[in-house]
Formats: sequence, C-alpha cells, structure tokens
Amino acid sequence: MSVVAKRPKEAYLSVFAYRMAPREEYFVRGHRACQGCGPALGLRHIMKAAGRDTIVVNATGCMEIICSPYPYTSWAVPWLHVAFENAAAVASGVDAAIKALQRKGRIPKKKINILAIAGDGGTADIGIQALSGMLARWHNVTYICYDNEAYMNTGVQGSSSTPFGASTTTTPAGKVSFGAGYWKKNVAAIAAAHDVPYVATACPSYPLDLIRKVRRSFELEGPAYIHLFAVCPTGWGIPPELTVRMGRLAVETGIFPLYEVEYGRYKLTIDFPQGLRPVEDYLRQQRRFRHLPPEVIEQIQERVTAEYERLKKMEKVTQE
Amino acid sequence: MVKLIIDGKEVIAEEGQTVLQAAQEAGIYIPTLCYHHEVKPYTACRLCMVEVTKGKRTRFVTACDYPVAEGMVVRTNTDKIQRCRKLIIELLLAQCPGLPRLQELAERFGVEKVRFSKGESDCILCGLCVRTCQEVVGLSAIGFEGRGFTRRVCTPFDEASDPCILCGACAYVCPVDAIPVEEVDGYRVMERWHKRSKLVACSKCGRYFMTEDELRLLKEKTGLPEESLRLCMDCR
Repeated sequence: MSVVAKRPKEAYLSVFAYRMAPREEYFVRGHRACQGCGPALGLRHIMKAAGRDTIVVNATGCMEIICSPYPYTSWAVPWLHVAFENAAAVASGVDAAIKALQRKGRIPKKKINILAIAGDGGTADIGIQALSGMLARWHNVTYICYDNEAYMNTGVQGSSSTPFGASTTTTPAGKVSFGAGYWKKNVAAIAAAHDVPYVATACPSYPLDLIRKVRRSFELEGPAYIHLFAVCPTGWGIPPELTVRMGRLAVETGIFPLYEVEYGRYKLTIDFPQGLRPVEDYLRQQRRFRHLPPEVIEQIQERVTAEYERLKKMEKVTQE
Repeated sequence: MVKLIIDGKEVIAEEGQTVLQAAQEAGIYIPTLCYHHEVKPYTACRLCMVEVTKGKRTRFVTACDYPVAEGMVVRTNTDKIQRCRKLIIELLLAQCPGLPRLQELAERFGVEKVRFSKGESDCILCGLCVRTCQEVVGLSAIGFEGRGFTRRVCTPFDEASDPCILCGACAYVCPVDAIPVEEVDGYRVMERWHKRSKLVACSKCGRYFMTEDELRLLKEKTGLPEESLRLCMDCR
C-alpha cells in the first residue's frame, strides 16, 4: 500500500505534542456557554492560533450571545458584533479599512489577522451571499463557520446544515416523518468552488490539526474558509462529557471527514487505513437520531461511504 | 513590578520576566527560532537580539534570556539590529539553503542573497527538539553530537534509541519543520531517529491509536492493566 499524499503530522501526534501548543488565551474563561460546548472549545484553539494581532468579526449566534453579556466580554482582542447575515461583508470592510489606513500611514504596517466567525445558520442559510461575495472579492479574511447543525441558540430549529434524519423543532420526528428529510449542505465544497487559496474542515477534537489549519489560513494571502465541526450537547441530546468523543466519532465514521483544499489541491488530513467505523456508532448515541429506523441508517451509511470515496478520488486526482 | 521602555512604549513587567516575554505581552514583535515557552531559553539562534541601554551603557543582548530591570531602555528595530538579524538569517541560510521556512524568513527581513559558501544541512542546531525531549517528555532520547561544524542532532551512536517512544513532540516544535513523522503500513516512522514503532490497534474497533512504545511508557507511568490501555479513547 502506498500513501497518496503525505498526511500532516498534527492529526495523529499525541500527549507530549499537545503540551507544546501555544499557552496564551485570547478567548478567556467566564463566558456563558453550556457545559461541554464544542464551538467555545474550538474558538479557544482558534484564538491560540490567531494570536494577539487579530480582529474578530462575529455574527449573531451562540458564540456572540455567550461571550458578551453586557458589560462583560470574553475577548482579549478587538471584537465586532454584527447582524446575522453580514459577518463576511463587515470583515471585508475591516480588511479594506486596514489597507487604506496602512497606505496613508495612520497605523503601522504589520500583519493583522481578520477573522470572521458565524454559525451554520449565519453561513449556510442567511449569510451565504455575503460569504460568497467576500470570497469572490478576494479579501484577506479567514472565515470560520462553527457548525453545530441547527439554530441552537434559539432552541434547535433546523438549518440547511442539519444532517439527514436529525430531529429538530422544525423537523420533528414522529408519525409523519423521521426528522430532516434533506441532506446537509456542503458549504466547504461551495467555498472551494470559489477557487480560494485555502478551504479546510476541522474539529476541536483534533486541536493540533485545528491550530495548524488556522495558522495556514493566515499565512496564505487571500480569503480562506474553515468549516469547524462543533458538537452541541444541548441540541444533540448527549451528555456534555462526550463532546470530544462525538467529534472524534464523526471523523472516524466518515460523517465529517477532515480535509484541506490548498489552491485546488485536496488533501485528507486524517485517514483511516483500517477502514471507517459504521455510522451507527455515532448516530445511536444522540437523542436527535434515536428514532431512526435501520433502513434510514443504511441510507446514511451508503451516502457517507460514497462521499468519502469521492473525497479520496478528488485527493488522488488533484494531488497528481 | 518593573517599569521599562521598549521601542518608546512604557511596559510594566513582572520581576524575573525576560525582555522577550515583556515585549510579547506588550505586542512588540521580536523574531525567534529557538525559543519556546515550555522549555528554558537557550540563546542558540541569536535572532532575538535587541539593544539594551542600562544607565550609560548600551549593549546587544538576546531578549529570550535577558531579565528585565527598572528603567531599562530596549530597542528592537534599530538599523544595527536589523543588520544583525539579516546577517544571522544569511548565515543560517548558508548552513541550510533548502529550508522553506528559512527562505520565508529571509524574504520577510529582506535577505536577498547569501554571500557565504553553502552547506547541505537541514538542521539549524537550535536544540529545541533536544530540550523538548529532555524537559517536557523527560526521556532524552536525542542529543547533540560533535563540535563546531560537525555538530549535529542525533540519537546515541546514530542507532534507534530505546527510550524514544515516537511521540513526535520534537517534530511538532521544530521551527523549520526538519523532522518528518509518517505513518506507513501500520508503523509510525521517524527516519531521522532511525526508528519505527508498530502502531497499536484498538482491541475493540481495530483502529490504530498509538505506538507500542507509547503504550509501554503509559503502562509504566499509570500502572493500569494492559487490556484497558489497548482500547482506544472512544472504546474505553
């Protein structure tokens, strides 16, 4: 067996390598996220990677609500709260303003990272045209979508990022239906179709990989999109101590494969040569999937396997 | 609490902090290669050189190990410092011309060409991997060998070293990405340390999750029975 692409080492290094990760915190404790919040965990690692010279543009959503109850804040960097749909548009404006001010010599010429953060609703449903515009205009912004697969902040309404079969308050499972009857929208693929320098999927269960991807997105000149798979214990119906395990299971079952697309070249950052886990391992532990009959699980399994195969083919084709 | 001035900015630092730490907290950039917050400063790369004025005397010091003092004036970006940095990068680049990370650094600091005869090494001898293995991992599986221009980082006698568990912490900290780690055919391989270790497959789900050597160390440290350690984190 030969390795198609060299996998980055960050995905499988263990205990001692974690201890060498950055220590500074720019998303600090005291915020009001639920126990076991996946997005908050992800943000902490993202800010470790982004560092001090960062401006954060945060769309309305869970992460905006929990970190800014007046008069407190969890951010140790400049932070803007914007409306639900325009995180990408405002981040474009911040980028343009920094360029203008540096040209006029009002602020020193140094690299300032701009980070736009929005949830899956603010990205896949409401903010997608602003995101597409930002990517097309080639602004030097890293856009991070933390995907907890529904509108969790307002009480678990289904978004277009909700997976097939999940029960939410707008796609309830019962006698008539088995939950969401549509497949999850693949926003990372939409972003990659804009031919931007960097698109990646990440998960806080693989923190070193996440840190590397965020750093890489800032190193490359131009727009970047990172899709962060963020487990939500409250909305998914799992105990909070299973957040990290659930993220790992999503990756190991192939439901959320971790890959990056650098200038159109696909690369799976973690692969399982001994095969994927059955999706059942992941689905049956969550309340939102508890009602699923075996034939629907089989349908999901087929789709997941096909998608994973397609991704591996893409990797093979584009890496040559 | 100590008051000092860095690049014209008044900075309040704690006693015992180094100039580099104080500057980083104040958001003043000083380039480094061999510095890492988890290990002791080593002053190998000399890239963090700054100009320090104490009383009437001005000297060049390495910021990563120089302690702050009351009334100290530090300048991090004078002409002399810039020339000094350029020369250091040029010398490093002469030693290891093929390293992309060094080339990026050279581009950033405006080093256009290398005037010295070029070597073939891919190691800048900053010793960060050696210190990590010693201070963080606690195994000292790698070390320096030789002196002067024959100095290099290697395992004892250049053979696969027994204590090494292939944890990859050295590869993770390497500032120039010169230590490759790969997982091929059920083995984790680190060519640089001549070592390969079989990966442990979880006894329940059958996926690899650590190396045999890591398992051995875990068993020693925790004293848990082997059967429970042979389960991956998700099957436990």
